[in-house]
Amino acid sequence: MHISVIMSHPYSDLPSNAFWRRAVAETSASAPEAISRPKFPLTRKDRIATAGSCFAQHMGRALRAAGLKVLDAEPSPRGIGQAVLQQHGFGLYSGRYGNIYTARQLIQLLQEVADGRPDPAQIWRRGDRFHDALRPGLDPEGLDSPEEVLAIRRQHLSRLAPMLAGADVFIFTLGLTEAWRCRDTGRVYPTCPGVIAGSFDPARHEFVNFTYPDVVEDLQQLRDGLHAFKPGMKLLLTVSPVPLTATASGNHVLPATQYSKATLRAAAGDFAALHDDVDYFPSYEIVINPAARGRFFSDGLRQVSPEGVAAVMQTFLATHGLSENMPPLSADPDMDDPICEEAMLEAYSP
Amino acid sequence: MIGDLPRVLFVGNSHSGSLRLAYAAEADRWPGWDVYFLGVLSDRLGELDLRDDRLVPMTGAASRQMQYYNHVNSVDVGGFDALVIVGGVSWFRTAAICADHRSLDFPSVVAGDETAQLVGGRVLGAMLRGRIAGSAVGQLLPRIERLQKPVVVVPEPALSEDGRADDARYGAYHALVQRGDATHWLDMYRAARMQVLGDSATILDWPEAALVDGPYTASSLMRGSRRLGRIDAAAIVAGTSAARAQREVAEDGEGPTHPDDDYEHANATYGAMVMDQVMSMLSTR
Repeated sequence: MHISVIMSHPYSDLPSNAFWRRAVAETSASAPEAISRPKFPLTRKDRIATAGSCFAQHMGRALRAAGLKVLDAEPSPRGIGQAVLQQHGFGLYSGRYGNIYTARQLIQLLQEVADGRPDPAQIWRRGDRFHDALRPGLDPEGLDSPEEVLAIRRQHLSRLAPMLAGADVFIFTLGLTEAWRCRDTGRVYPTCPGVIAGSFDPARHEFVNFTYPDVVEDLQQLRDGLHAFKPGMKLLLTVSPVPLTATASGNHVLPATQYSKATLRAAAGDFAALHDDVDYFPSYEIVINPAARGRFFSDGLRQVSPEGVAAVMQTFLATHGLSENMPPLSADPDMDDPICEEAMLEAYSP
Repeated sequence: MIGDLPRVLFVGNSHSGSLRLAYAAEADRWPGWDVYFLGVLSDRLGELDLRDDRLVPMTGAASRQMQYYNHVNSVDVGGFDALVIVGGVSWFRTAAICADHRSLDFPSVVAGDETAQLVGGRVLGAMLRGRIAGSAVGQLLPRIERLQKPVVVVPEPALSEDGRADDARYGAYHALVQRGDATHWLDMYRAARMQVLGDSATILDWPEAALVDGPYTASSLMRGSRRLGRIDAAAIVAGTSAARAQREVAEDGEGPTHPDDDYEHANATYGAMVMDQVMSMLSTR
């Protein structure tokens, strides 16, 4: 006699998105279903601030295209070509702060905004031109004098304060764990001194590879810092899928990239799980999804392809119920590459 | 050179009308050249291309205007000894660029104005270069450069002094002047213009005598301006005397006068001043 017993266990009633075969192997990578359940929906009433590594530029662009209110503390003049504007940091984020690759960098920016005083030591030189060390790629040709750098930065900080105070949601895309910092002040830079401007001095500059505890602690400080400007401001975290251009860790760049992304992913997810006003969206996972079979990366296997960007943004907007009544984002092959200082390291590749 | 005189073709937008009127009225004032005109409106000027020595329209709109205003589908420009581009780089509209974005060396910023967004001077230069490169002249000039003929670029007139009351349309420009930034911005504009166009053309400025109170054109040189009219450019094709062709245009009546609140177009007196500039410059080559 055969006795059939139906066993009950935690997997028996799970939805299809919990199973790899159904949710990944048999699902279009361009339209992953139920990959994210937002804690708080974005609405067209929300005032949104964005920052992050270069992949985050796509986020701001998609949100604007979807009709959301993306704040801009330093808008561009009208009637200027996109290429010129982007090269000079206009319209990339909610202020002309350039790419912010680490949570530490963003915390330090918030502290500087709160203080209202730029650090006169953070000026890099290239030839007879001067660069803001905290956004060295912003003015590709540099500025006329240290005084001009400081004056522009001082005003930059003053314009960010009201923007932050008016933001309902801050979307931050974590990019890297590796950074270079000033030994004296602990200030981290978006790029290694000497790459765009300035000069590398091992007595003054040191390499840092932030660990999981570092990143979680920084995220806590980041949340606190944002709430100092606007209590209750929500924080939406993502992780950039863009690999490191180069690693200074001494390791192969592939495991170095995986370490960086795994650390950021784990820290962001765990931190979001601790707070009702913090959420995580899986941009990283959507792009590296094996079901895409690599097509979400462009030829250099580093930049995300237009199709990959479209997959992330369409999923994001659909998750938040914002894709209705708007034309689908196209995988525009002419889409501008994001402005990315880190990519300049490629020039040093042997 | 064909015939006794060198031939010059003025290719322009609506601003070429004042030069054409001036020439029609007194062609003998510029006896050294055989002068021809080809006019289209506004940005259609940038929609002309050079193919096998022929100036051809690139768009339907440009094609229609070539036919409407000139009665030609294309023009063989290979036989001309020089070309003059009239209009197509609108100086006063660039005032909007620095309305809210200025660098430390702007007089208003030096004087303590803190309302503008501070940016580097080279950012503004890049914006100006981008604007000029994307203008009708910026697009047309590289195309006709292949002719390897002398090219002169003539700007639109500066805004009429009569327009100073019109803040709705020209507020940014008036503010530029009132802030004391006009001369500085004009220097930046000229530098950018030279960088973009200077290798391919000789660039003329406004006639000095035409300007009043800084970068405004005297109203006496602007009032009574006329719209671009239909020209019998068949004369160009048939080789009819240019002067006669232009007189025929005048007899046909150049377009009607612009409305009183047009502060951007100049009259024939201004056109004659510019013709003097251009022909003087060409005669020195």
